[in-house]
Amino acid sequence: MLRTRTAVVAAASALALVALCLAHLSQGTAALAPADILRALGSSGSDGAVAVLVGSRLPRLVVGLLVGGALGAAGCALQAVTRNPLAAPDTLAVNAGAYLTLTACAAFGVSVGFLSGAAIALVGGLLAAGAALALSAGSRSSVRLILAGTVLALALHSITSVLLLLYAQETSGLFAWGSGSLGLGTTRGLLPTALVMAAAVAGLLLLGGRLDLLQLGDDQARSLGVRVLSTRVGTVGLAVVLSACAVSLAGPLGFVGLCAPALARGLRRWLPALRRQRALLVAAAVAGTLLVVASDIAVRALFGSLDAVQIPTGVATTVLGALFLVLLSRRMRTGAAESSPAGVATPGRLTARHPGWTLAAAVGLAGVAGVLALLAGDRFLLLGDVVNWLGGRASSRLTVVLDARLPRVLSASLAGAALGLAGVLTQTVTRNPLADPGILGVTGGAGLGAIVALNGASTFGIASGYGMVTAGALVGAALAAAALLGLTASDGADGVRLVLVGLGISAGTTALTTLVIVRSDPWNQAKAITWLGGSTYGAAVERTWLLAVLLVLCAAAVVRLHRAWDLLQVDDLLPRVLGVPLRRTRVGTVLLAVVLAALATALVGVMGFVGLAAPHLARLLAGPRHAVVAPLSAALGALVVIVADAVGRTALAPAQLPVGLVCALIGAPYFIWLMRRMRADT
Amino acid sequence: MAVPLTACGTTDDAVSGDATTSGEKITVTDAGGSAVTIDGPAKRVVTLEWAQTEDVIALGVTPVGIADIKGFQVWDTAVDVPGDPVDVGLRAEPSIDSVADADPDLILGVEESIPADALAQMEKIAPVVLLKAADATAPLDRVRENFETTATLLGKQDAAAKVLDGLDDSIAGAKQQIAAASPAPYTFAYVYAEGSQVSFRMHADRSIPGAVAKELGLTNAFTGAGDDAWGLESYDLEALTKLPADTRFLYWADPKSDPVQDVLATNPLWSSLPFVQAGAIEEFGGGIWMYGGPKAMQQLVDAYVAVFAG
Repeated sequence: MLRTRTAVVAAASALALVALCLAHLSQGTAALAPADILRALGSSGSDGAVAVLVGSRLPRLVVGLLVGGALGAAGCALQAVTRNPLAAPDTLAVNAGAYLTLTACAAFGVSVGFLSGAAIALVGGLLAAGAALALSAGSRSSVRLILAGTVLALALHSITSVLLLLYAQETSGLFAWGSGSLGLGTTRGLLPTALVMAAAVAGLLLLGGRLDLLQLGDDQARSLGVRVLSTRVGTVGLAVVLSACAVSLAGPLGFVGLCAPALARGLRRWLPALRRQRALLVAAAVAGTLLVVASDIAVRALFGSLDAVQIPTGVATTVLGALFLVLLSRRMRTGAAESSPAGVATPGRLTARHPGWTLAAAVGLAGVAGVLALLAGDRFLLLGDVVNWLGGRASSRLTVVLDARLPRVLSASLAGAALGLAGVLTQTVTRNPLADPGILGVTGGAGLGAIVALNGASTFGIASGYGMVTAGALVGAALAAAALLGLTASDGADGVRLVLVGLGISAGTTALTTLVIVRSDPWNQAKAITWLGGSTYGAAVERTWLLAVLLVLCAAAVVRLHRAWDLLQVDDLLPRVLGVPLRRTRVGTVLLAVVLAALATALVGVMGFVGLAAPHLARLLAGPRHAVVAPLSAALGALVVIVADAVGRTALAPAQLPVGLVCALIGAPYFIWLMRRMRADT
Repeated sequence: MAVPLTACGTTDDAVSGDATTSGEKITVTDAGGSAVTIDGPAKRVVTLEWAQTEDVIALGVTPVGIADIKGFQVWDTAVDVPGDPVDVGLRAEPSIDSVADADPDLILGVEESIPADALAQMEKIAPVVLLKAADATAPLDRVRENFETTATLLGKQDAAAKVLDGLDDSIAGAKQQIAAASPAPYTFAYVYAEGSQVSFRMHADRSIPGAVAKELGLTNAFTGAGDDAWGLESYDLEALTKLPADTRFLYWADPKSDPVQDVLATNPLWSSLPFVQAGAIEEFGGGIWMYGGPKAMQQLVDAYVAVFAG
């Protein structure tokens, strides 16, 4: 019975793959009928058709199959070794590292000879993965590994974006490629890369038996004679090689490595054979190829082969992958998150005893940073200048400069505070240390809503004002949050599932934003990066009042609800026992976080990291009590974004770097230092 | 370090009144169709896009501020940057600080130069004239018109007429030379590599280099229309099979790399393309800013002549 079922699934997959391959080969920009291609396959066709087949279509298909398979297998291996369904080339920064090294080569005009792409991407991917693993080494918590990887990926991606902005002319096209594309200019590196991939997969299959035992836990595995460390290092190394090869061929094709193994695991209920690592690895690889090839077909069918040239296939894999992930994660048994946010942060003893002082210090620091940020720019001003300006006696040059800087500082501080607060609330309600409006897709939804509103407005010839952007952001954020909550409502407190669905929404909305920009303004990658990177450029004071008012209301909410939040973050039972209206508090808090994130996004664009880092830092400094942690997280969020904005305006002045990019750049090392400290304490 | 610096003092003296300038008013129409008036010919200009930088210098005025000077010097060799202008930042987001520091009496760019949000802030510094960067329905008229508008703002109409007449003359001359050579159809693409991938940005007749070639009597083998601003279209390798066999394939690439040699040379489809087999491929236009002004167009004309009638 089971055997037939396995056979049926295997046969169906094989059939689907063959059908997809044929459909894939029939698409393309050359003026050739599918029949010509079929004839060329039997190599009795005309010379031209054979050349197209050999030089373009087959390589594209082969790249799709290789990359899909490699990413699927890599994700599967990483998930097995970390015992974490969120581990993937994307979340361990492998893709980001590989993409950065390739971009740097383009920006600095480093000529890359034979096999260059693969080798360079491999170096970058290895370094990034090594860093992510080293940063979380010795920690039992797999959540920490993903945290380190995600944060590192954000930082690396920011450096990449900065390079794309500074060397716009030299790197034209890399932005779109950064989402992953399958077209291939040369087949030179294909065979060696394929061989390396095959060897890596073989290696993973060899390690499969040991990985099965590893699922029982380290001690159990060790007692059964498994060399745990070498198994781990070997598996991760092979997975990194696989994903770096994939990046060198197709760019960082989003989400395949996360999604394909999830797809394979989803079948485990029907096919117990997939409980074995080796079978699962093969299934994940096949799922990866299906995903990539189907996505490529979808893009080209949807937009036409020629128009699809500028649309990264990765946009489709990401959207498709996100959909799958969301659907599958509903059926998946993942187990609750292993640590609550309060548990992750172990406060330092000194600060925990005087949380009030910590809060005062943070607010004071943010204030000082705000003033310094006002003075910082292409040229440092002095306090006397500000005094003259306040008194209306400044020279017109200074008036212009300060008139432009003030709204930027103001927007930065408000957006930072809003994201810091939204982050703390999200983490509390979901009882999940990974949850923040960025990772859960709320800011992504807001960004997509805003850009759709902007483009929609210009399409219909409506003046696209700030009101439009805000409305779009609110609608987008609300839809993202509704999708998130609707899809996870039935599971109670399954934290991992929440993050899985959130990651799906986040990646999907980011991909669609890229699509909207690439479609509407194909030659202007700077616009896209600035938008996706978050920017205070051109900020205006009158736009900040909405968020300012909301933050004042939040202060009232903190006063009223901080005890309920304290209870909420422990478990469901305690608040119930103590008479807290659980459902109402939860919904209200989530709504507040969504609106905060949406208004912040409308003000400065999509900005990750702040909502993740500020709450952790706040808890670390002041313990779990919300009376302090909520305002402290807001103050720290403001501080981080003010500093990031000032650095962005001055570091490479007169070039202006988007604040979101700098946030990730300066925040990541700090966050990672924080993680190391936390480990030292626990 | 910033703290002691900021502890006291000012970088500019306080002011009491406002100096007024007088002169003949000049009014031009910007890309949005609204009239912008300035007091007399602009002397201190900040240019926010390379075409405008080139035009202002070509008219004999040194801008006091230029967006991305380094990039300009690499990508637009039609004019040399004289003196020591201020770099006012990247073309996508010029620094308001630096523009204010340059103390201009005119800020000149294209619509994309200043995000709508920041326009009001820029206008506080000096009058802002934003031109239309490109218009595929009349690409060359757009170049000339922008040049003339710039000349009007600088009070340099005579110099402009001279440059444009010179261009007309050299186009007429080049046309004859090229007609005598009766060349095959050409195509012009910007080739760029990403990792091991290659993309082609095809220039239609409606692009500036395409329109110049058309003026010279050359036939574009790429018959697509391109987008409505730049006249460009993205192609992949396979799409090149649609070009006629006798095409002369001109390509433009980042000066620091040659994707054709580095990446394409080993691709069987590329090698099978008739113009590649015939050796009719040529690196073209290095150092010429294809989206520049009349001076860059002059370079383009010379480059076409060198290829097709040389």
